[in-house]
Order: sequence, then C-alpha cells, then structure tokens
Amino acid sequence: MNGHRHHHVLGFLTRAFIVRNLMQNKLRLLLTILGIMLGVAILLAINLANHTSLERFKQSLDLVAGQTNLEISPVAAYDMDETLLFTLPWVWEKQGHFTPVIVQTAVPADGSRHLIYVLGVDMLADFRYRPFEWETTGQPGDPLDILKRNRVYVGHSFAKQNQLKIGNTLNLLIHDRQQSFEVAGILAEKGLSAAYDGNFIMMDIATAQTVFHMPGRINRVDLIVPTEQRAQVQQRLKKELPPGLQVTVPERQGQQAEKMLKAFQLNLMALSFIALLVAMFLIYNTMSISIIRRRTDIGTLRALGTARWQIMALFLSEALVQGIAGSLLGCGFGVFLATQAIKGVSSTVEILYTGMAVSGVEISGPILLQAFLLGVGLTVLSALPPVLEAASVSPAEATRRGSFESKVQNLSAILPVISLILWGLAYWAAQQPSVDGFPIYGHTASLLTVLGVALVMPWFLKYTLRLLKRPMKGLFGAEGRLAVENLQGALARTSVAVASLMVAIAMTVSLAVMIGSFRTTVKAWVQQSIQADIWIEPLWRKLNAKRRINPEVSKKIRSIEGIAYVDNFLEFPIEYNGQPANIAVGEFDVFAKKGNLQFLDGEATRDVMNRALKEDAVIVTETFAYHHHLKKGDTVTLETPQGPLTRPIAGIYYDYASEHGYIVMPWTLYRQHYEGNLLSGIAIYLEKGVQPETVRAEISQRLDNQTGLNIVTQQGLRQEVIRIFDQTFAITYALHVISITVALLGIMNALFALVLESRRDFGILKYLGATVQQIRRIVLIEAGLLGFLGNLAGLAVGFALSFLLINVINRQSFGWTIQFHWPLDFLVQTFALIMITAIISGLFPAHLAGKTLAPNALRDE
Amino acid sequence: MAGVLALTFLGLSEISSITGAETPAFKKALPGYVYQFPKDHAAHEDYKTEWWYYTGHLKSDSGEAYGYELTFFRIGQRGNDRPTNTPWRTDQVYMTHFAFSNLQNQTFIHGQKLNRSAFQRAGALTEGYNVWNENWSIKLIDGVHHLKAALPDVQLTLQLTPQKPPVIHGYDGVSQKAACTGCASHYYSLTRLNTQGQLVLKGQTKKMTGTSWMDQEFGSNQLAENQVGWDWFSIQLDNNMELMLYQLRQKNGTIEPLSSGTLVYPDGSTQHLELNTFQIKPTGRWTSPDSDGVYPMGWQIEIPSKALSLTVTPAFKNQELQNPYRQGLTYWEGASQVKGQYQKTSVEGQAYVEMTGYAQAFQSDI
Repeated sequence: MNGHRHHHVLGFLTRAFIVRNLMQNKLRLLLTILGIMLGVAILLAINLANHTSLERFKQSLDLVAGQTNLEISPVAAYDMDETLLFTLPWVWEKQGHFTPVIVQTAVPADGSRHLIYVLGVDMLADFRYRPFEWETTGQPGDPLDILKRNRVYVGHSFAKQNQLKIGNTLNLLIHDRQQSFEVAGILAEKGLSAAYDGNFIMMDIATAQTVFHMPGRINRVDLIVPTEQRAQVQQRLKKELPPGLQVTVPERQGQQAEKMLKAFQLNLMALSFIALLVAMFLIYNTMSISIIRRRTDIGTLRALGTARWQIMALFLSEALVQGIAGSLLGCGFGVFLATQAIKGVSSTVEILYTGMAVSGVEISGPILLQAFLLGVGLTVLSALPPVLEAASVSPAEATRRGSFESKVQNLSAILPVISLILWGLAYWAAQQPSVDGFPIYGHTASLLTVLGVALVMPWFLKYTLRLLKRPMKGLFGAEGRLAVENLQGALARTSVAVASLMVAIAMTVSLAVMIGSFRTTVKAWVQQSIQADIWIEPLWRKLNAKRRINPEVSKKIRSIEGIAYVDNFLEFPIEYNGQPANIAVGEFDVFAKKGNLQFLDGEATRDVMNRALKEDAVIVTETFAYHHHLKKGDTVTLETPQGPLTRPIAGIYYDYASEHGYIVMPWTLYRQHYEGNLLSGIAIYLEKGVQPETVRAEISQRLDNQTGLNIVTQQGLRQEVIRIFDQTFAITYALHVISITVALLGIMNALFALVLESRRDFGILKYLGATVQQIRRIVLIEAGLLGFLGNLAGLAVGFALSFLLINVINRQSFGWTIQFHWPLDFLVQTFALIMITAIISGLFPAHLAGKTLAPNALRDE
Repeated sequence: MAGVLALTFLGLSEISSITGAETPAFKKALPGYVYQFPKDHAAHEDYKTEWWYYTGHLKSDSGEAYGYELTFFRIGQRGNDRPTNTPWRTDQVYMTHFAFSNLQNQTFIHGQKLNRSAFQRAGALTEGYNVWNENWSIKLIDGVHHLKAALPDVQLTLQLTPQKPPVIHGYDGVSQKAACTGCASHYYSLTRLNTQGQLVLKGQTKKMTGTSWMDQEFGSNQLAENQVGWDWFSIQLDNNMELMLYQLRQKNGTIEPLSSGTLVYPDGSTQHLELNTFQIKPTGRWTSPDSDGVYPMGWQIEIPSKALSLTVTPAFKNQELQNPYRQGLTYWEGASQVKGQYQKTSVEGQAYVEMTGYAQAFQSDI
C-alpha cells in the first residue's frame, strides 16, 4: 500500500517538477541531448571502426589458416628454406599433414590502390587445409592446369569487382614488375573467398616462387595433425626444428595482429572518450544549474514531507531520460559516423599495419549496447554530484535564496586544497610506467588534472572576477561592472559553466598541441634523416613492407654517371621477445659518409657507423630501445636461420617510421646470417652539382621504364612521408573537430542556462530603469567574459594535458620522443572561434533577457 | 583397367596437352611391346599415364572379412607452359586412392592423396619397383609386394606374394581401348597374390590373411572422346581360375566393340575374351545418397563358350568413392561375392567391381 502511494506521489512530482522543467527549457534540453548524442556517437563510431578493421583482418587470417592447427614460421626472418619439408615425413605417420605456404601481396596493374593478398600454396593438395568450392561458372577446365605457369584462382567478389571470367587475363604488379596471369578458377562466395575483403587470390606454389623470385623459399608451413596428437607433435617440432624457426598455433597470428594494432586502437579509443567526457561536463552543467534554480522548490517539497530518496529519484530520472534519449540518438548517429570513421581508421590500419583495406562496418550488438550503457551511465554519474547536493538540502536551508551560493562561497576555501591533492596524485600518476603497454596512469593523470581544475574554479573565478571588475568597467562602463557583479553573484553557476568550457577547450587544445608537435617533429626528422637524392622502391611499398625489388635493378643503375653511392636497403618484420619489430639492412659505409641520423646522445652518424662496421654491431631506433628497455652498448639477440645472433647496439637514433621500431644491421652481417637477396629499396646519393631529375630520367631509361617501380627524388620522398603522416592522422583530426563541436555545444548550453536563470536579476534591473539595450549588452558581456575565462583556463589546462599526452601517453604507447611545439595559428583560431561562439550564444539569451518584463520576472518573489 | 578412371581426371589434360605445339610427345602404347619383369613393375615415364592397382579380400584370425583398394596413379607433365625456377615445377603428379570395406558392419571409408613429385612427397622409381604418395607406399622386396596405407582409423600393412606369373592382357602387348592408333595401354595383372599382414582398426591390431589382385597399366591418350564410363570386373574363383572383364560404355548407349577380358586358368595360361564372347547383365540398381548416381548393383555374367556362368553380388551397396573437391572422379569400387557354375560344377569366389561414369559422365565438358 505504502509503495503504491509513493509511486503515485512520485508520478505526480515527476510530471509537475521534471516534465514541466524539461518542456520549459526545450532548447537547453536539445543541446544537452545533442551533446550526449555526439559523445556516444563518436565513441561508438571509433569502437565499431576499430572492431571492424581488426576483426576483418583476424577473420581473414582464420580463413586463410583454414583447418591448419599448427604452423612453422621463421621467428626473425622474412622467409624460410623449404628443404625443411624433407625432414617432416614423420608427421604423416602421426596421421598428420603439412604443406608449404607463401603469403605475398600484389597490386592490380590497373592503378587501383588496394593491395591484393596472394596465397601461394600447393594447389594440388591444399584443399585439405583450406576447403573451398568453385563457383559454378568458375570451375577450372582441367585440374592439372594448376601446374601451368601464371594461373591464378580468384575469389568471387574479386572476380565480380574486376569483371573476371575463366580464361581472362589479370595483370598484376608483383614486387617491381608487371606480370600477366590467366584466371583459371573462381572460388565460390562463401568461406575463403571473403578473406581480405575479397582482395585475395591463390596461385600454385610453383608459380608463386617463380613470380616472387623466391625459388626454394617459403613463408611458412601449415600442418594439420589429429587433435589428440597436437601437443606431442608441437613438442617434437620444437625440439627438432632448425634454429630461427618456431612452431605455433594459428590463433597466434590473430594475437600478433592484436598486438600490432593495440597501441593505435587503445589510443584512438582514449581520444574518442574525450567527446564523451566533454558531454559529461555538459550534463553536469545542465543538471547543476537546473537544480540550483529549483532549490527553493526542493526546500518546499522537503518541508512538505518528501523524502530525500524521492528528491534524488526525481532528478536522477530527469538525467536518465536525457541519458537514454541522447544515447539512443548517439547509437543511431554513431553507426552512421562509423561508416565514415572506418575509412579513416582502416586506411591508417592499412598503411601502418595490415595492408588490408576494409569496406563496410561490422555492426556488433555488444559494442552498441556498451556504448548505450556507457552513455546512460555517465550521464547519471555526472548528474550525481548535483543531485546528491539537492537531496542533502534541509527544508529550512533550501527555502533561503542563495543558500547554494553561500555554500559554494564557504567551500571555495576548501576546494583548492582538494584540487592540490588531485594534482599531486596526477603528478604521481604521470611518473608511473604503462600497464601492459597501455598508459592507463597517463590517462588517469589527465582526468585528475581536469577534475582538479574544475574544483578550483570557484576560487579562481572569485579572484579573477575581482581583478576584472575595474578593467571591465573601464572598457564597457556600468554594464561591464554589472556583468562582472552578476557573475560574481552566481559564482557556483559561473564556475560550472566556465569549468565545462575549460574541459572542452583543454581537450581540444591538448590534442592540437600534440598533433602539431608530432607533425613538426616528424617534419624536422624527415629533413634531417632523408638525405638520399633519389629513392627507388617497388610501387605500393607503403602498403606492404614485404614488397621487393630485384637486386638486378641496383646493379643496372650503379654505373650511371653522377651517382656517387648506392645504398641497398632491405626491411622485414620480425618478432622480438614476442613483440612485433623490424629488421632493416643497409650499407653502413655509405651511411657513414652520407647519412645524417640523429642519435639520442648526439654522436655523429659517421662515428657510430664506423664503429658499428668495425664491431659488426647494429643500431636500433628509439622506439625499439624504449619498448625493450635497451641502452647503447647493450646487446640484441636475433633468431636467425644460422642460429641465435647476439650483437651490441652501437647507437640509438630517432625514427618515426614505425612504432615497433627497427634493428638496423650492415649487409655484411646480414649475409652471414640470413638468406635471400631481394631489396626493399635503393637509396642513391649523387655527386655534387648533379641534377637529380637528369639522373632520375637516366635511371628510368636504364630500366626500360619498368612499371612497378617508384623512383622519387629527395623532395618527393620527404613530401610523401609527411603526406602519409597526415593521412594516418586524418581520423584524429576528425575526432578533434567533433570534440570542438561538442565543446561549442557546451558553451552555448552553459550560457543559455546562465542567462535564463538570471532573468530575475534582469527584471530587477529593468524595474530600476535599465533599458533593453543595456540589459542585452550586459548579457553579451557576460557571454564574452565566460568565453574569455573558459578560454584562459582551457589553454592553461590544455598545455598541461598536452604535456601528459606527449611525454607520458604517447611515449608509453609508441615510444616516440616528440618535440614540444605550439601550433600558434591553431591556438589563435580556437581562441577566436570560442570567443565568437560565446558571444553568438549570448545573442539569443540577450534577446530574451531584454524582453523580460519586470513584473513577470519578479512575480516569483 | 581400373586405372582408366584416372583418365577421367586426366583425360582433359591429355587432350589439352595434345594441342600444346611445343609439347614433346609421350610414347603411345603400340603393339609389339615386350614385357620384362620385374623391371616393368617400375615406372614408365615415357608414357603419360600409369597406374598400379591393388584390391584384395582379407580375413582376420577371428574370421572378420574386409576388402581394400589401393591405387597409385602417375600422370606425366610436359610442356614449356610451366613455371621455371622452382623445385615445385614437376614432371609427375601422383594421385592415390585408398578404400577400405568393412564387411562386418558394412562401412566404407576412403581417402585420396594428390601430390607432385617435389620434396619426395610422392614418386615412382624407374629402376626398381617403389611407388609412394606421402606415407602410402608399395615396394617390391625379394618378389614380395609390400603395401602400406592408412586413414585415421585404419592402418594397413600387407605383404603380397604372387602365385601366378603376370597375365598380359590384349594382343601383342597392347590392350586396345578404342579403334584409333595408340588408343590403348600396356596392361598386365597379377591375378592371385597370397596376402598377409596387419590391420590396425581404431587402435586394435589384427592379423590379416587373404588374396589380392594387382593391375598395372601404362599408356598415353588411350581413351576416345565418345566413351562415358566403364564397368570392370576382377574375379578370383576358388577353383584357382581368375577372370578379368571390362566394357567401355559409349555416349550413344552402346558398348565399345573393343571391350574385352581375359580368363586365367589354374596353370597360369590365359584366354583373351572379345566382347562378343561374354555378356554382363545387371540384376539390380542402387542410387547413391551422396552423389545421386544410379549404379547397376549385382550382375549376371555369361561366357557360353567356356560354360562359365557367374552371379556377382556386392558385399554391400555403398562402396562409392566420392570426388574430393572436384579433383578426381566419383566412382564405385567394391568388394563383391561370386557364385556360379564352371563346366557344370558349382564355383564360388570373390571379386572387385569398378563402375565409373554413373555419378558424372567423364569428359562431359568437352
């Protein structure tokens, strides 16, 4: 019975108190919901884009692994010697099977920019590992045509996209040359055909070895062994495999991909949280102000016997309604945004990590639900402090006007102390190492910093406004003074408004500073490090570092007049202590003469290189040294085909090409321990005074204008690096724009609230004889002041946050040193944009305030 | 004969390779071939296709009955349209079928291995009889044929000792398959091999004894385009006689007139049988649930001139090998029982029957 009555009363109160309030403040409600929506949408979009790009890649790995349940692959080499197969027949006796696999990439010669994954397998025996069906119209005429030269088998969607039929010719850039293939079979739609988003072809291993210049070499061996024998076979292989090879389960490839993408994806997630955080302040702001306004009503309700929990339930339900509405809209918009975000995310993932293009977004129920619950949860959470405060109001206290203000005034002495404690904690957190590669403490430090600033806001405003009173009067006369006094009188509301502005600005500023600094750093690095006059690489190498040039190319051009030095360059991904890394090989003697690497300790490139040559040492990048906690003089141990190779580190240099880092060794060392002579690129240094364009033309001619090669001059290469940088940061820029949008929404919301809630004061002013123009001016000045103060605080906090981003979060995630740089133009623009938005947001409330009739506004009293 | 089925798989490649202008020609199976044993057991790489075919009926100590088929096909590859610069370029491809019929519970399991000669994954020596595909193998050691084959639940190791000299089919060393020159093969059989060995069935080891049959056949481009399938019989009677018969079915529903057979007497002497000397009449039908192929099931064989009348009954119906992943052919190859009369005396025996072209007509896309 009792519960029933409560329910009844609550229902009435909800209608009278909450619904009416929401209806009256439609515009603010809209802004708040919009804020939540954007916050949830951006989080969801990034999450879905991340999920899609990783899952698709993993699905492709799964599809390509097929029935395989063990794999043999090189630990720290590009490929392996296939004579290993001679040693494996015992696997048959265990009722198991094994087959060689080549995984390579090609590019369509028609100029489309996506990579095609090429699977080179024993097409006669491979069905067992990767079962598939042929398309009805795509069946090979003669199964044994498999053994003929340059036959390819393409997936359903690939055939469809490229309008290929059996017998058609397919031209592909294989490494550095164009080659023609005959389409000899088309795989049915389901299964294997879908690997790599359809950009996938198969060919017999004989053709693959021939066209990829890798006779006798393979990338891995796939095994199928009966489940109950798997552990035993794995154990025996572990014991018997030659050095440099490992036996793993196929799931590991997926785990490797996760590892490779982890830092990138986690940080993208963290960035996408920013919009949601800003939205949280928006809620907090809205709820605080609307509760402050209704404090007297709350007091009355309390005096009439409404329980505290009922008050809490009332306001929380208000937050809940907004949270649900905003999050629902956010989910809808988020799915749309994801279709846009996937382009940015997948192109970054494609360029930097997998080489695999992804189209379309995979909608995941759990991720949608997670975003929705997070949106609702954070909305309620950010409403909680003001709601708790409202519930704690005693009847007598609340009916007194301004009781909250005086409370805040009293607190403003204690709050700075709490802030100091929070900052202290933030400082401590900033010193902590990452947890499993993720800078959780760094992010915590950012949050603590922001929270500390929000709390110190009343104190900050109290003094700042006092200071501002005189100059404002000087600038704007009586209206200036009145505006300041108005804000002073409503310190609590002003603090909330400025704090939410500050958060929004700080977040965007810090991001801008971080990206700007990074870009400047990379630009400087490119200028210093790229010293070669001409650079030759296979087309589309940026999409896949495994693309190769035939060393013949290097031999052919060596004698061209004007060329001083040729530096053959090779790189390949490896695993170092279970982490992704890369090996690079170069001509150290050429580097000693012409290179200009920036070593951490400032040692000259020439000295390091000469020492490395003398000691057969390697050099490593800063990122590699950071991730593996290595210092100059330490050693690295590589699993080479000739057994473990331990070499000292002659120097550590700055490099921004890969977050996972490089170990660079001289060719002499490589040849002793590795096999294979294909190149990743050729750097050419010219004699003094020789025109790069002339030599470039001569090179093209010497190579018979061979397609499949990219020959660029120094300037072109430098531009390309910056272009890739910008491309990979495109998604970050987009996030940035969205958090600015949310911030602007916050500013408008805060101003609306503030001005609307001050209508009574304007009524009095009018009553006292103020003109409409004067009142409008006051409101506009208030808006401008808020914008200015928010900007000021935001810039300061943004500076602190960018420090955390650059020196803690980025450092721990990627291991890069970024030189701090102020993107001044951006900061000025942001400042101006926010001032303008603030003043524009003041226009409508000013209009309203001007219209307020004195008796109307005073009737409440 | 059994191996002709390889040609359905290979037939296409035979024909396409004829068109390759620069392809060095394979030798044709022509009259006048003189066999030399054991040398002729080994591979004949001058011919495009070749197979070694074993079937047998086995009994365990405790009387359980089993049948097996183990066939190695070799398909030669020539021509310049092949990749260079790789150990995986191959001159030989090997396809091997192993089928096992459990007559107790009427279950049939089978598997295929398809490999090229690279990395010793499969091969057939030209000196000495040694043929293998992964861990399935045949080796001739001191006149004894050693067979090894395994599927997940069945591992078979057998030693086969011939009881009669090789039977050479056809006339003048060739078994003609169609009228065209070279549309023939060199074809011989070991019609009775004493068999013993060991079977590991689901982990249980059983001793085996029994009787096997071996065929070897080699040639190039032996089939004609209008042939859609065949029925083939290898029959071992308890009066120590054996009979091989085959009939090639043509597109128009008639039987290739050159279809023939061989009757082997207890002393090893043989009688060539032309098509007009025998009749094979199906006595039943069976539809494969897997391939939807409709097969004859049960036969009445009459050779009036020899007063031989036999009823051939499959040990059980589902002994169909399905085509894995469209590589190779779906066909029926099964252990069968034989009852009948020879010279008015009742005889019994066992047989293997092979039927192709019922689930899918071979060369249908030409």
